Amino acid sequence: MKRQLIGLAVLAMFASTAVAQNWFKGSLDGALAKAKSENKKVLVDFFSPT
Amino acid sequence: MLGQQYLENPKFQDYLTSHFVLFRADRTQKQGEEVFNKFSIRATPTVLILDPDGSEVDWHVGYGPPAEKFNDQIDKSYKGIETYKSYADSYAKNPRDVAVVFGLAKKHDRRYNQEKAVALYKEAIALDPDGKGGTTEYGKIKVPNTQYAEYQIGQLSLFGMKVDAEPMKAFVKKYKSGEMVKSAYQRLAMYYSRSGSKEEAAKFFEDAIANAPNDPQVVSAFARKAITSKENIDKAVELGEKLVESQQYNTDPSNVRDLAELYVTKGDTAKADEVYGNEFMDGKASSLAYNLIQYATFWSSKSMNHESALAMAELATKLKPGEEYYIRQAANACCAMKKYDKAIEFYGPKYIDKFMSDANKLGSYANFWGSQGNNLESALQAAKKAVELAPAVPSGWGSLAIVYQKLKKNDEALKAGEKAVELAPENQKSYYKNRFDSLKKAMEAK
Repeated sequence: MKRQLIGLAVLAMFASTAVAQNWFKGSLDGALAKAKSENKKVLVDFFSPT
Repeated sequence: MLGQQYLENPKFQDYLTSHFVLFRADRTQKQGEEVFNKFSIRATPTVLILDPDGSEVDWHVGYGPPAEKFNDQIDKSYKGIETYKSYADSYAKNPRDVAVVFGLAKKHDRRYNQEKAVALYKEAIALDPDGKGGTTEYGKIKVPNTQYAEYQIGQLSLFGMKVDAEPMKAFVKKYKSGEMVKSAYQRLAMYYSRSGSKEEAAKFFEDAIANAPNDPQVVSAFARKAITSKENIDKAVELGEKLVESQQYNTDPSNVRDLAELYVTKGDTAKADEVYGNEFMDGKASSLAYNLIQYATFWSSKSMNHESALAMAELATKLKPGEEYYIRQAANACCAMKKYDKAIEFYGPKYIDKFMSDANKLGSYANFWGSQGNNLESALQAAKKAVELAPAVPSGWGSLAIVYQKLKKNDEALKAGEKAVELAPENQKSYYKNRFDSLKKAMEAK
């Protein structure tokens, strides 16, 4: 049981890291260029911390 | 919430990354601030969808769960359904299509583009003055697009960059009743509580009070106006008292506060204290504490929300410090979650040490822990003290019996149980007999 819980915690940590890596690192122009090359659109999240 | 529930939820990552390049414009960073300014974003959260050439496809301002519903909206935007771009393209080809004009107006409205939204709403009204061109949702009801457009023009004019109350007043005069009219009165009341000429405000409130004397927002706005202008105080008091009375046992503190402030304005602080003093707030604190404990009790027996249940239980005991009901209920919730150390922190030896001359509290304490089968040494000490202080009271003996049974001291348990039955008055004999029988069954089962 303890091993299963540790395994789940590690999986959750990897999932969180993976999600953080999905945000494009660079300028908006870079994101638009990447979208063009991959035939996608750009989703811009306007974020302001509360 | 948008980030946690949707944008960074692993459940939606496959969809999002296969359809979009995800870009976060963080306002606290220089680059992010530049993107905010580039697109004139006025509120967060805002999600903007761009084509690779940088042109705007669609936007979504605000977020409300469930995330699945929001994902559906994003998917519609991706597919070009009812997007800003589709409306703008259609408008360019046919600016007399009322559904397109109205849809485009709503898009600009959602993005707080007041001037463009008002202009387009006016175009939609001119194309469909009788309101037969279609309906749209307003809360849980459907209203004609034209009526919605007129209301929104009123709303945007009332609270936008160039304030003008006339459109909203015209709306109320035209439609007279309904959910939107009720909302319009509330918006106008908010406006006139702090703006407008004295004559205009007086005329508005005369009409509003006649139409909506029981509307809390209208009454509250009238009270605010009376307090600042020092006029119509008696009328505001009369309406405030009726409103508070109508709320009975679930009074809104803001309405009561308004009433108290009116009494103070009249010079009657005693009356203000009567309605909005310590007794009033103590009642609210008790109500909140009770709801917090109910919440803790509910979730403590389920397999989730335990952290929250514990936090709410602690908050309840802080709101009502020293009150045994909340302390015991908090301990009960902790025991249900198998957090016995925490339960003992709430309702353990440190607590009961203060009441070693109170037979009632000692008996309740012993009964609680006897039932839990935990903290038994302390429970035994309390039970013994309870029967020593009140030897003729059966409940103490009953608690002692339970504790002895849990400690597997069966002979002593039976003696204490028999004593409880012997001392019980006639109208309680069967209750104690049943408890004693249950005790014996529990002993036989082990």
